[in-house]
Amino acid sequence: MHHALLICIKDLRQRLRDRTAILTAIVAPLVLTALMGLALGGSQGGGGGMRLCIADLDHSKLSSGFVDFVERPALGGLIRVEPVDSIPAAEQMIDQHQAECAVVMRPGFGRAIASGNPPPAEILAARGEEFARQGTSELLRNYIHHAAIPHDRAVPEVIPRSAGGQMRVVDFFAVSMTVLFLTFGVLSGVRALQTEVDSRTMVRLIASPTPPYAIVAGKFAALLLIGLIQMGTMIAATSLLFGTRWGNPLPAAALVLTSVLMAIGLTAFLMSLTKNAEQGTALAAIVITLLSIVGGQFLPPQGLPDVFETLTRLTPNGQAFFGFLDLAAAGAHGTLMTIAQPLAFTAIVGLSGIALAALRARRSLQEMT
Amino acid sequence: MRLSDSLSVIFRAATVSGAGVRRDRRRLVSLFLVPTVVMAVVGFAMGGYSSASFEVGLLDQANTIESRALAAALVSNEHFHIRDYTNEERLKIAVFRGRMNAGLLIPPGWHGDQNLPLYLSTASGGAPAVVQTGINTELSRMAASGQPLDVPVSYPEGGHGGSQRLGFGYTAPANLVLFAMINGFVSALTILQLRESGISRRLLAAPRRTWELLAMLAVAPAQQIVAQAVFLILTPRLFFGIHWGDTVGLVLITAAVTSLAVAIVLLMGTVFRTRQQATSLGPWIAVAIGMLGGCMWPLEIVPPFMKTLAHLSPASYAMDAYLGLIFDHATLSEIAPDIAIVFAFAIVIATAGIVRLRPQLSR
Repeated sequence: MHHALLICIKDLRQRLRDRTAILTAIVAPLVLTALMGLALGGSQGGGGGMRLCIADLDHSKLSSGFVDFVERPALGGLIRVEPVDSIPAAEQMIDQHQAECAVVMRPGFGRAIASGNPPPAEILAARGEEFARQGTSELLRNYIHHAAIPHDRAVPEVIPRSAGGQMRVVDFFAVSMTVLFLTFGVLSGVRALQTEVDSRTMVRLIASPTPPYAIVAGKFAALLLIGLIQMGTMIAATSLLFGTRWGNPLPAAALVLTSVLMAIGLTAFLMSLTKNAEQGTALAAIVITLLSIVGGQFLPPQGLPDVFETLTRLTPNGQAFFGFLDLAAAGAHGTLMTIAQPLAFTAIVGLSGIALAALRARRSLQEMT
Repeated sequence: MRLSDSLSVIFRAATVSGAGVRRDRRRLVSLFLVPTVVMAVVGFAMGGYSSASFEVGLLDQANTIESRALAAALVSNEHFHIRDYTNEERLKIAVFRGRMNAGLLIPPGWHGDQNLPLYLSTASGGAPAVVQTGINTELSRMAASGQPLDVPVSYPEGGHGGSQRLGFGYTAPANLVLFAMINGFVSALTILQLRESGISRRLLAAPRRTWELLAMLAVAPAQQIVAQAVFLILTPRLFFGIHWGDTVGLVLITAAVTSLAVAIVLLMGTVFRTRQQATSLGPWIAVAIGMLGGCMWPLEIVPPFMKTLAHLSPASYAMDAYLGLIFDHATLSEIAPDIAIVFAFAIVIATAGIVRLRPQLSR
């Protein structure tokens, strides 16, 4: 036990002194999360709101009501209205990138609605602002249909509901990058271990009076602690920096543990397939990158084809990723049952990988001795 | 010493390094297979965005004439891409994860007279508000018994709104630029190896001029980057039908991108202190620069301040040029400013690298 502890502490010290490993495990995922959150957090026209020009050339009660309709509280101040008095003025606003879209209500707009005819209106849109155009089009059509209905008649509408906890784009990528870089962080530890095998340090250790199980236990405990420290740091950092919520702490801790096991198992197994640490690191880096791409971890979630849902479920990193997302969705109600599948999947992959890697390592050490 | 002699030495260095790469299967995989897989997967994923529509999940538990009419109206709405769900929990999770902008639940016994619950995603900016308005449009149209209404759209800047620059036409150049930069950062390894092994000191002692030594250092990564770039141009052309546009423009912007990558090799070979830094950190620095410059998603969808920040990344100019060639059939003169800026980045970075390189090689 004493020997195992000494080996574990020595390995941990070595890892924590490795500034490159810390940069890769902590700083890189935080920078990428911040970039992705900043870039995509306001996508689809939501970030800074939309600037909408309104040219009311009709000056009727119905046409002037459109401004109130657009600025109503239900739209959450997403649209900033810029009234103009002519079509050239609206065109100029769009030309000078002062507005994404403009609505022109020509004379006769109110009369046409009252008589049940399509009103003379058009939308001017800036190039490349498709989402703004779609939003403007929906707003105008909604207003025209709404205005045609008698006031005493109730019109059904949608009532917004929350789909669960808080999940912004930055939270999505915080989880994604934390899981992805966990494998890279653990990989640097596995690489150091393999380097000791390559340089025959491990053979000398085994030849020493230290029991082999103590060496294995010490090395494994160090890898486990590296992964747990990394996950803990990332969870704390993303919570503080981005306000990401990770759900109920107890099931989250269980998933952190099985995810670390998964990362150790996956990287150790890949490392064991190669001849040396350099080859193993390259192979593991390629496989992890491909798994993360296939698992949709680098892609904005909106609009991904359904097949990515299945692919993500088939990858161990994807299982951990979805597990943490599901926990965040469940908020305080999250239990071990919420993440039963990710827990089982990551644990099985982790333990199998570790067992296979240990078998192969044992064989190669026997060959060396 | 004659120029032909110098070129012969550089050519021999290129031949030796080329033979080494051809024998290294891992290098070949990372040079050619990984970018191809990434391009194919991301290109396929981006196909999901190509209609620039909002993703709406629909769970119709009513199955009445009115609910089916509403579902049909939503399906025919060009702004929505409707996906049917059979389970409320799955619908909520899909909305929560951001795969759906919103999820509409039509409860049992709905006959067009009650309000409808709509799950809204918090992960997609202002899109849910638009979806909410769009569904309200269909509800009010049904209540008014009105016909679908087409509102004419015009574009004062000329042309048409067009589809977003997505799909393989986007991911092909994005991966070319991204992997050229990744290659540049990782290939800094070659200079680090020379420094670590002491070969660089011996090279400096050789009767060769400085430019010849620099050329020998640059030629190995340069040929890999060029080979990768050519492969990443031909593969999407042959398998995904990507037309790269004006040939001269394509050659020049690709030359600028490969020069940029070689310049990165020269600079980062002096900045990174260990081989591990080059292989572990290098790719992520390249990914961050690529993200900033629009190699991961179109810059059209990022907020204005991120568009401004993108100008700090040479990748944004390279992407502008490639996308102009592919989507707008731009001419050489139209993309010339972008090409010039990428070359300027390459010159500045290479100069900084060369200034730092000689004293470091002699250490």
